[in-house]
Amino acid sequence: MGGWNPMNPVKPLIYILILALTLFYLYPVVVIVLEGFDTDISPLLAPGIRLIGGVPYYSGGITPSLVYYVDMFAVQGFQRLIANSLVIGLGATFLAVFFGVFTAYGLTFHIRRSGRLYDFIMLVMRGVPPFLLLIPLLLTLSSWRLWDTHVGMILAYLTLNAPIAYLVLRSLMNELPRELVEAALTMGCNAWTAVSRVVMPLLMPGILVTVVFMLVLTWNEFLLASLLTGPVARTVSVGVWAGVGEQIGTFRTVEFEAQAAAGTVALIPVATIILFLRRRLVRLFTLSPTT
Amino acid sequence: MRAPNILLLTPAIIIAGVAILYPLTTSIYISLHDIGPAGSGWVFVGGKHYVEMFSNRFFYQALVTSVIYTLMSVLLSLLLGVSAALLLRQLNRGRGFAEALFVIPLAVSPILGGIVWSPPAVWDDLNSFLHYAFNLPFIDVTDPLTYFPIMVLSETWLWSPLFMLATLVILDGIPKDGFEAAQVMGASGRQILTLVYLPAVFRSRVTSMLVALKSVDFFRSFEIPFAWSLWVRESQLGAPTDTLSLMLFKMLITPSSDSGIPIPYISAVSTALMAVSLLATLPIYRLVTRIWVGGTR
Repeated sequence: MGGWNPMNPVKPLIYILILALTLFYLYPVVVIVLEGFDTDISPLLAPGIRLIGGVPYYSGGITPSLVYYVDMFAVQGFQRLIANSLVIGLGATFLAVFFGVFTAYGLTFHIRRSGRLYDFIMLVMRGVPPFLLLIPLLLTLSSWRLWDTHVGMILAYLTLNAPIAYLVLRSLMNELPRELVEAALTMGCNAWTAVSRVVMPLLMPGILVTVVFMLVLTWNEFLLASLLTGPVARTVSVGVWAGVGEQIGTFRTVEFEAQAAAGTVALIPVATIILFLRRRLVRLFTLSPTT
Repeated sequence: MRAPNILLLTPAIIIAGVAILYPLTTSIYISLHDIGPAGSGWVFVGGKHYVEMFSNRFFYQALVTSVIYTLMSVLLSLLLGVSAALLLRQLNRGRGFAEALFVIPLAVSPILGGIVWSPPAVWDDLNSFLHYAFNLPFIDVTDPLTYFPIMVLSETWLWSPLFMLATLVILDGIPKDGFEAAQVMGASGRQILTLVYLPAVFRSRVTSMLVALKSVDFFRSFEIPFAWSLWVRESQLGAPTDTLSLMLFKMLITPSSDSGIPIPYISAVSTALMAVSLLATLPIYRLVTRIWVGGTR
């Protein structure tokens, strides 16, 4: 029920603009998906026109094939990267949410005075320059022989994401009726049973959404993963950039179609999740009680 | 109630230790030291690296780049997100479907965001289309004045759907009778837009919160500038792609001839930039406490 009259001459213009936006938002994704299924005779001359030394070169045509997908799974073992991302993501998310729930509970219902300072510090940590975390992690993980290990990456992502998990959980906890928890405590609950019997069941939908959100964040994270993993614990997003190749692929020329194929595989699960979360994302990102 | 309080603080202390105390103290320690000659460990050098930072032109250049990048990205994301939401609200049918299509970029990881808008993905094809259909000259994406806006556009593409969703949530929260009354009283579409919709969006704390938090994120942006530094072959320091994060990354992975990897310098810059996140957090904190106490309006 828009506010405009249906006979309004503006209507066709609105459809045209919506069509243009659809093209803008979808075209790059469609291209990436298609490129992954398209082989080139020479990787240097992908379809299209490019300027080589100021001279335009053209090469075109689409040759559909699964060669990049076969290479990705059968030769390069992309499934190993998926497993790494899942193990690291689940580990870091579990720890961040577990500690986050108890911290948020304690600061919301028991030690309220310290809660505000803690919120402030956590907000600061949510916005720190990434290298403030990266350099200490790089040095510590290598001296503890945890560089390129799953445990090391779980610790790294706990450092990165614990503040975000805490803030989201605190915003959830904040909406819980205070009387309910206080009633539980006066009727004989201790902190542990108050969390496990009262708070957790009430907030379960919110906590599950937080878990999924944290998983998406770790799955998509690139900077930490590119510097803290090597061949063993490499994650999906590093694999996407490297075109799943063996090199870390920092400033190396990468094969675009391999990136496209890996990107498609990495995108599908997240896109499904995002479609389900959709408007809840607003609350997850802004920490506000919206939906 | 003494004992349970201390027990209750344990998780808070563990998180603070792992996520705050450890990276912060380590960074400050490293930033005040130098790697000594082989085997001698860290040598205290005081504020040397901070002085170095303020006399380094790459630092100023990256700072300016980051600020421009942040401003452009956040303004464009807000503009596009709000416009998209207002357009979607004009649809009577298929609104949910269109909304679902528009949020797909939110699933794209930032590094993939640098790939999907790359020359081989979009610009080569667009160039050939424009050339053969309209006989237009090629867009030269290796020109900084072209690729910098493209980097901002990629960032906008990734994050404007979030601004759109926030706008939709806010507009759906407006009590219906308000603008129905306005309609009955004969308000035109434009009046409803400028007197009801836009004030609701721009006065909402959700919008302020999103703008503030995403500004912090854009300021730290790494993946898209990093991807573009490869597409346009700008791997040296001081390139127009260099945001602060990318500059530090380049220092870390490119071995320099004289002093090896400048880890203490990188830590000094990061520690100094803490001041920025502290400053940015002040308004964010005020917003958060207001939202948590009094809601979003």
